[in-house]
Amino acid sequence: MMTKPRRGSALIEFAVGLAILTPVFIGGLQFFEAYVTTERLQGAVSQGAVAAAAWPYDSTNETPTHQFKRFAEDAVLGSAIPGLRREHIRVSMRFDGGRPSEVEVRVSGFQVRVPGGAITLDGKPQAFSPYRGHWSASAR
Amino acid sequence: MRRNKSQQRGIVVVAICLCLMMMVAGLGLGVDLNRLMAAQTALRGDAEAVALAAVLELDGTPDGLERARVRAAETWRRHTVGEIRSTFTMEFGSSPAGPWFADPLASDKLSAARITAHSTFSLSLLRSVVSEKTLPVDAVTRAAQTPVERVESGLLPFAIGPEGQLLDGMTTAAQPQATRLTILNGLPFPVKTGDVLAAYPSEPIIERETLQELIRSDKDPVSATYAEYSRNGLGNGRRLVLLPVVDDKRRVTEFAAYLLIPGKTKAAERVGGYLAGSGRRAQASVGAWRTEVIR
Repeated sequence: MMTKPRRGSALIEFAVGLAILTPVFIGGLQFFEAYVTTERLQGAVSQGAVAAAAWPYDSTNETPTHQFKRFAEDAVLGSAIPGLRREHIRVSMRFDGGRPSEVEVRVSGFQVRVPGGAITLDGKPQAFSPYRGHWSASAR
Repeated sequence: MRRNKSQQRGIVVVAICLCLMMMVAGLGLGVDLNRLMAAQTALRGDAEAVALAAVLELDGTPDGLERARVRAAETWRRHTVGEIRSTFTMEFGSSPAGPWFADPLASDKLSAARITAHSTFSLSLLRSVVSEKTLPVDAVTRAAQTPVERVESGLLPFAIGPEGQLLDGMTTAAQPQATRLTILNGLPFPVKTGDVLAAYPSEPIIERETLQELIRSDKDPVSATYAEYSRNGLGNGRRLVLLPVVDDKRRVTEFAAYLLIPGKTKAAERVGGYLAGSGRRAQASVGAWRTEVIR
């Protein structure tokens, strides 16, 4: 009499448990993955800024030349972050006292997957490095 | 049997709750550890930027030491916007190996800086597990002016001869436009001490005009000496150039920074060591130098 109603209950309990725990587990993994990706991006833009800061700067103003930008972008892309493309990377030069003073590299328009969707990183992460290369600034 | 079965009721709910708690705690640990690592990386990056900014200003003068302090503080302020309770201390030394002094004399030949940064990290999910709400985060970094053995950019197609005169004829192409671009951009090949610089047909008019163009592109195109140029503090370093010094066989014996003098034909004043990216002389009196983080 007592055993009959319990038939299959273990299966139901297992299914309910699985239905609750699986999304939580997957969500947790996605959340963690998003954090790791953001941290890797931070490392990549820092690497790009530091590398570009020692590279010859050949512009007379705060807008870098295509060549300089490409060098900084390559340094960032060297980290091989999945989905990160050249168009996500912004490179600029800050001038102080009429000369290049600080390289800024930031990520813009890059999407990081989070539980329930994706967030778009706009302007972050970013990194700066004091400019310490040769400024040629020639007229072409 | 009956009592045992009734005791099993609700055990799945308890098991699920336990699993959930363990997963949330694991997630919290992972997230907080990741954030902690990110905070440490960011703090180290800030400290490196501050150290580099300070070392770029060290030129062996009291003004240079003061500029290093000011620029370090400015860089720190700009980099740590929004972060609370972040502080740093700065020490200077004559070598990346130390010793370090918080309040040195400019005459100590300072060419290195050590930054110790402190910050406080706020725990989020782990706050409910551990008793602490915050953790201290520290970063120590050093930067120094380091010698460049092989000059790969910025070397003008001229040299300083044994008598201190400005020699010409180091350009690689006889085309006027190529000569002009080489003067403005530097030699397109690396040069190191001991190399013999070849002489090429010079373009005297182009050379003279381009050197004057280089002088005019400086924000201070008028100061007649480096002492005046440095005192005024208006220049952007465009006419502070890196030149090789050669012997009578055109063999490079050393490198140095020279200030191009306006209104004179190929005249330059030796000012000391050349520090890339600074717009001023290096701390050392001779050589080509760059600023690097010492790891």
